[in-house]
Amino acid sequence: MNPRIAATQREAVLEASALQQYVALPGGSTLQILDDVDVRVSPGERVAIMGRSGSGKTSLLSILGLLTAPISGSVELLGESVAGIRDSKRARLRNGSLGFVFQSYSLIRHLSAYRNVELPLRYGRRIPRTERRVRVLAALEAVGLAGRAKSYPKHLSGGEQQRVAIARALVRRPAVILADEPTGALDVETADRVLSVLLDATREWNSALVVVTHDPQVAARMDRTIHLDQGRIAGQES
Amino acid sequence: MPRWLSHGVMDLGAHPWRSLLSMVSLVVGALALVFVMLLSAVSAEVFVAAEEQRTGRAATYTGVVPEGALDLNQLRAVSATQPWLRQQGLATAVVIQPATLSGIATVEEWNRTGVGERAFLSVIAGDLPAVRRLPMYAGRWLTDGVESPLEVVLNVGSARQFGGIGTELGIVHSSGTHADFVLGRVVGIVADAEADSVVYLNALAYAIHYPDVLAGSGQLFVHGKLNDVASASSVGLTWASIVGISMQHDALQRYDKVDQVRAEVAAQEQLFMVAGLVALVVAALGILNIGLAGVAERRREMVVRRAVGARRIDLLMEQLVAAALVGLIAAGVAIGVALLVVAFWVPTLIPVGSAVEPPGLPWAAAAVGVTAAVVTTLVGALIPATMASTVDVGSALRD
Repeated sequence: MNPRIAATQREAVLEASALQQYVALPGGSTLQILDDVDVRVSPGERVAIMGRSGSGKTSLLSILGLLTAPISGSVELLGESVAGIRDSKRARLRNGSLGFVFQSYSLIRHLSAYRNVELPLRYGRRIPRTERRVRVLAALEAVGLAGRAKSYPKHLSGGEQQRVAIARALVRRPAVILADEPTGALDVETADRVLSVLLDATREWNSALVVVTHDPQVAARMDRTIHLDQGRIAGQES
Repeated sequence: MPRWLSHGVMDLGAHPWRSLLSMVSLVVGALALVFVMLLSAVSAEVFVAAEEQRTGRAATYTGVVPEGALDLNQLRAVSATQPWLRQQGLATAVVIQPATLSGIATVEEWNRTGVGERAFLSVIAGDLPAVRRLPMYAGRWLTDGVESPLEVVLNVGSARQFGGIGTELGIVHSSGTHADFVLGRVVGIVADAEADSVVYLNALAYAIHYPDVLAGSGQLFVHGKLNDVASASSVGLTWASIVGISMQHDALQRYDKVDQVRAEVAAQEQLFMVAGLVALVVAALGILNIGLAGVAERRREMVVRRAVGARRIDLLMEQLVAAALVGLIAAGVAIGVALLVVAFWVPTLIPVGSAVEPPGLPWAAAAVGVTAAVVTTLVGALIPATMASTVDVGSALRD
């Protein structure tokens, strides 16, 4: 287990408070898309964020993933505030403590499954090649694709591509995996299988999971669901 | 850097056609630059060679050796001092103009008419080929041998007139109504850029058989890396005193005009260089175009890389390293082609007997080519790489 995660077992791995976010509109006006949002994610917890289109789900996930900074409010990752840190430090934190699963898989098409999964290990703290290999194969094993390491994305099905993306998110053993509609592009059967892989792997690797979804069946398999409406938390259910 | 390098190498394989197109563009640019430099050097060499063939190598100084100032011992000393002069990077030659009327006749002609045809006799003491570029069409230059028949070297005009290598000739000298001749044999045909027929003889060998030749005046040539008349005069006078020739202090003047020729071709070289640079600029624009298209196409990839932990500097350097690799490979290909052309093709274009020397392997052009190719790719890749490094990672979840 990640020692930093162990140290914060009783604390939140990811905590956001009083988040406010705006977007600029054509004509110079602004639109508030998050209003006083608080989110707390415990170690190993699985959280779904639901809401209608435009409710601020993706904006919230972007802030939690250190991809964008809020206009106001605070974000703490593993007990450390990320307010005002430099872009390179944000990149390091994303690399070391966060994993991403995108709706559209977002694999790099000219890299094999192995290389795609290895990608986060090639940035941030230097990891020897042999250790990288062990980690990549373990991540691919966790998603049931150890035998497809040499395959390129174009030779993988949608479900397989998303499992490779999950392995890529897992390979650094991050504290939190952030998934944006991870099954949104898959048929029902494949979506169910991929979601199972995601849940099993995060449980096995002890990563927290935050999933943005429209699908109540996906939310039902999480520990907790946060409902967003017009940028505010409309409710939570466990 | 190793990490950026490995990403760069992977990048080449990622878009092989794009990499190939960039390389082709660069190979053309680098080749153009290398060949332009080569052409410029060869062109300059043609003019310099013509001047050095006609007058003397840079730098050659000349002075007058007074009539009757030479004797056989001095001629021997002139020959004897040549090895020492060569060690010093110097060469000297004395060209004697016979005081008597001279001519050349084939043996049959002499036996039939008793007169020779008019030709310029150039009676040489010292190392004239070290002073002037005198490439041989055939055979060899004169040695110090004094045996009969005398060694004779003809220029192209006199070879047409009298015959080729092995031809026996009479070197006719007339004094009043009396004419006599010394037997010679042609050992070489030289390209001396002279329009007239010229016959070259070794002064010592000729003087042994015909001492009156020494009554004429001579022209001293001193060649070496001599920057000015004063240093040339110093060298010339020292050498003259060693061999026992009396000369005046201000006797030497610069003879060759290679410096002027080089100054004249410098402007032409600049024009060549501009043409080469234009080729590189075109290559850079091509790479920029390909790079911009690549960044547009790979924007999502860059965003994903940023999301999984790449810093801006990582993306910038990965792109630049990949570009530099393309530049190095292209430069390698271009220089390989250029070296093959210079080593095997260019020499075949230079006619036998030309004073133009085949260009050496163009290492300077190669160095410029490598530098230019890498700089060109970096310049062409800088804007796309900067664009790649500044993609909005905030859009990672929105595409």
